[in-house]
Amino acid sequence: MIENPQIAIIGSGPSGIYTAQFLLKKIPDCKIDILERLPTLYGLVQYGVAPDHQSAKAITRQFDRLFENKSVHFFGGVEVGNAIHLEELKKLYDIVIIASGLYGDRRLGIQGENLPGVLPSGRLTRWLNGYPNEELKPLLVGPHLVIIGNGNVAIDVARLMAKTDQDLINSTMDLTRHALLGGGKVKTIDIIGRGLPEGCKSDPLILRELANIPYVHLTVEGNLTPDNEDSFPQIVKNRLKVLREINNMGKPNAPCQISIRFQLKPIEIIGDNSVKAVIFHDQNKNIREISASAVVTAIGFCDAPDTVISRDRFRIKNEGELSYNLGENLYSVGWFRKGPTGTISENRVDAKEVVEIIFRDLEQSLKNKAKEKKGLASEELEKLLKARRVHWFDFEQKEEMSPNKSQNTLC
Amino acid sequence: MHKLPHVITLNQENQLMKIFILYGTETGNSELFAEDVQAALKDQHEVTLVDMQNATLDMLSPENDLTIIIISTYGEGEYPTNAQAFVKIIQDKQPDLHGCRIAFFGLGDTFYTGHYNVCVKTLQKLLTGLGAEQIGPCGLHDASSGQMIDELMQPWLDAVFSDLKKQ
Ligand SMILES: Cc1cc2nc3c(=O)[nH]c(=O)nc-3n(C[C@H](O)[C@H](O)[C@H](O)COP(=O)(O)OP(=O)(O)OC[C@H]3O[C@@H](n4cnc5c(N)ncnc54)[C@H](O)[C@@H]3O)c2cc1C
Ligand SMILES: Cc1cc2nc3c(=O)[nH]c(=O)nc-3n(C[C@H](O)[C@H](O)[C@H](O)COP(=O)(O)O)c2cc1C
Repeated sequence: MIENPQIAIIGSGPSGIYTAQFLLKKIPDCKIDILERLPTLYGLVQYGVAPDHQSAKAITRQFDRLFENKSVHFFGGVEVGNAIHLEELKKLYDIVIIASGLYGDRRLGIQGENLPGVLPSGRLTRWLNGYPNEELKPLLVGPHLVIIGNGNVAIDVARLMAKTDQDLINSTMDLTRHALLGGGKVKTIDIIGRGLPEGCKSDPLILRELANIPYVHLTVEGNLTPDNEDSFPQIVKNRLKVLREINNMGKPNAPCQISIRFQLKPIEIIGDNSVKAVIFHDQNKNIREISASAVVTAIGFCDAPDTVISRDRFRIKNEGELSYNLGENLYSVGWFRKGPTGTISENRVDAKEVVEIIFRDLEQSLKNKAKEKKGLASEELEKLLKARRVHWFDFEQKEEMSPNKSQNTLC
Repeated sequence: MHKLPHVITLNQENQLMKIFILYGTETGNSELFAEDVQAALKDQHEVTLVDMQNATLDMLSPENDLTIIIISTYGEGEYPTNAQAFVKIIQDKQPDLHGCRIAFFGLGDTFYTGHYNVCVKTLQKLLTGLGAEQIGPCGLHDASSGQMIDELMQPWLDAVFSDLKKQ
């Protein structure tokens, strides 16, 4: 085994942080530098996880502890591929791990998608989470919101747009931005999925949470008692059960009406200067039009247009997942490796695995060839960044860099 | 900077106590807390930290001076993935746990109404039902409380060890 292996991790989201934690346990003498394009830490925990789910964000306390370890350094505001190239990192470090997630919104690829009033969910949730450089044109969502997609992100968006400011006081929601969008004033929300109810991806817990908002009435349209229900896995049965339970819970006069609809395929978004309606095909290819003052697309994530580390570049044909080892001393983990689905804890499982593989490979590399001793990679990196006039933030500066996270209060 | 609490001194016939810490975790909080407990005890006692995935029934033996169980709740009242197999073994084998001393600490969230910390509570019932003796109060952390988990450690450990001393 190489002594004091020097490791660079690209990205400080859950997968990068968990990987660093496990590396320190498995290879206690390793040195880890975490490079992050944003000045702030923890990726989607900060800018994806809903601002009214404070306890889910509390994981940051665990993550903070990592940086008490003197072997770990944070380089915030350093975008790999921009400030420093991947190839350069691979030369500087014994091991380089890509944990950069996927933050591009997948597009529908239909007409009208570029109309004002169509908001991709990734950008919207970043914006509501107070993300500093998200250029979302503030516009009123208006009375009729259509959300395309029915995964957890879609349900998060529905809840956040339904909730009034009063109910968000104890959250880290950017209330100014929420008000600019007209959050809490939406009259109808249609949550649309292409598939059948049994294929619905959202977590029963957050479906219930949505239905339980006192001023929301929720209905579910579609066959919630399929004939072959008995043959479904337990998790699917549970979800159908919850969909039945939350359907029509008896608040028909509630000011916010939410409909979950299935088997509708979006064909076109229509409107002149802004969105007016969405046209769908139902299962029989009949046209169905749902009027909309705004549309949120929540159909998943992919390489962002401005990405500098393209996941697609590493993909082999149509394989969904990348390998842990991407050749030579380059590895991948988390959403970047697996694709953009799964909870925080699933990245923990992935991080454990990549560390096992790195450990094995490091042992192997000793048998093959002892790498020549290099200088301290951190110092080399700092020298390089200084020469390029790249300003970076260390962990101690994170408070001053994070967006204003003071508790919300309503006057 | 995180500070470790002062170390608990306990002389039981001048012997090192044999302590097992078993943790069940989904997102890593329980593991970190278990590591903190280990760090607080390891200078004075013979402490073994075990991922529940690797736990065996002899870790619940009366031969040990104390077994500490630290476990979170997930899903809607579900055991963390790494704890499920071990809990199943206990349920299936129903071992006799008389003479076995166990302290419990649960991590949960009152946000999950009706399922708050159910894992530690059901495990506590299961193990005491099999004859184990509970040492100290069952510690509980609520993620919605905003309280740091490690702040709860010292008072809870103090209560556990004073209970143990009484025996
Ligand atoms: C809207 C939304 C809500 C979610 N809510 C929940 C929830 O409530 N509970 C839950 O368990 N999971 C939730 N998830 C899923 C969870 O966020 C992911 O599982 C997890 O964040 C993925 O971790 P990651 O580290 O792979 O990616 P990320 O969290 O995206 O982290 C990647 C990091 O890499 C950085 N980066 C990217 N490119 C570069 C580069 N070139 N150089 C340097 N740094 C770079 C990014 O800035 C980012 O900080 C949600 C996801 C979304 C999108
Ligand atoms: C998806 C999810 C489901 C949860 N379900 C419960 C629950 O049913 N009951 C509870 O008390 N806590 C629940 N929690 C809270 C966790 O137990 C709490 O965050 C704990 O600190 C996690 O500890 P761990 O990291 O060791 O798993 C849940 C958390 C998440 C993210």
